[in-house]
Amino acid sequence: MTALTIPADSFHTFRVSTPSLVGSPIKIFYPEETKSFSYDEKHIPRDISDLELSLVQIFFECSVSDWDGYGAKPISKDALYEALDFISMIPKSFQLPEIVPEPNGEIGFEWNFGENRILVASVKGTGIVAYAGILGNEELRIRGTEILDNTLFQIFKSIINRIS
Amino acid sequence: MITHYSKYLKVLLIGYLNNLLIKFRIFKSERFARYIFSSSHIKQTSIRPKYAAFLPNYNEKSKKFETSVFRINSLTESAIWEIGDYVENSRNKKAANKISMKGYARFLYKNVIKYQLYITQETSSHPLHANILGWPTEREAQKELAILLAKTAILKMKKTQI
Repeated sequence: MTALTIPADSFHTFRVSTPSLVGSPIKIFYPEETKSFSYDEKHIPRDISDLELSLVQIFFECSVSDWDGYGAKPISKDALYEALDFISMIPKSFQLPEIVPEPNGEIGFEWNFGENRILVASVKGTGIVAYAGILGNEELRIRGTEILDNTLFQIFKSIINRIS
Repeated sequence: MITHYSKYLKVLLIGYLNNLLIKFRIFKSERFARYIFSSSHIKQTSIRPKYAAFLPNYNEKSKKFETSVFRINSLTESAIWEIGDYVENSRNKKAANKISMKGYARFLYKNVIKYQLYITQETSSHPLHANILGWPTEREAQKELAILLAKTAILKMKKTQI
């Protein structure tokens, strides 16, 4: 288990899809003392709420400079909000990705089905998603950038159907 | 306190001696380590690191994308971990937010040059330090290469990690 400490006097507003709060912004406020909760590293997101929780936890961990020990840029709120948008657009038929912070301040999503079967995509708050993948054979690779919209997930659907 | 500093001196001495032995040339079969400090770059159930562990950081001074690595050929396992501890402690002395080493990704130089990247020594911080260079500037191209590097690397977890 990894304890994640949230700085005192910090608050963030999120939009999450937790059924009781669909569409409503949530303000999480930690007024006076440092709060901490445990993040189970073995936890694999089972549903969208889990995925959003993972995202928030990683955001707190990586919203400071040099979070990776090599000078990584902090993840911005713009990237966080775009990642929430990305998550809300993932088709229900998709296996849920894992959230992977990137040292340039982007939030990555990884679909990994085994050796040479992987798709990764990332957002940074600009509306453009960058992605790359291996399609079953190291020689068969794909990469590109697309606007974050449903067309992107049509592309991802064809990739994931091929590698899953 | 003397014990504390002597451990660091030992790590540096090992580095200098190794450097003399390998005479600055990097061989294709040479092993390297990429130390990992983010738990989001590892997966407990996998022998491979996540692709993001290899993504480069942009160096404002050199104006290049670089992935910091260490030459570990001929080092014992304990010496490899000691370098990781040295990197962790050196970094934590300068920064308010503390990090801890989760493990390291071991890989071969031949799997770097296979993808048109290369490694150059950069010994200002440590005699065995080097950088993976030659990264493209496009986000998606960097991801592709990071995926390829990660898939050939072996993840070694620090034993205190649960």
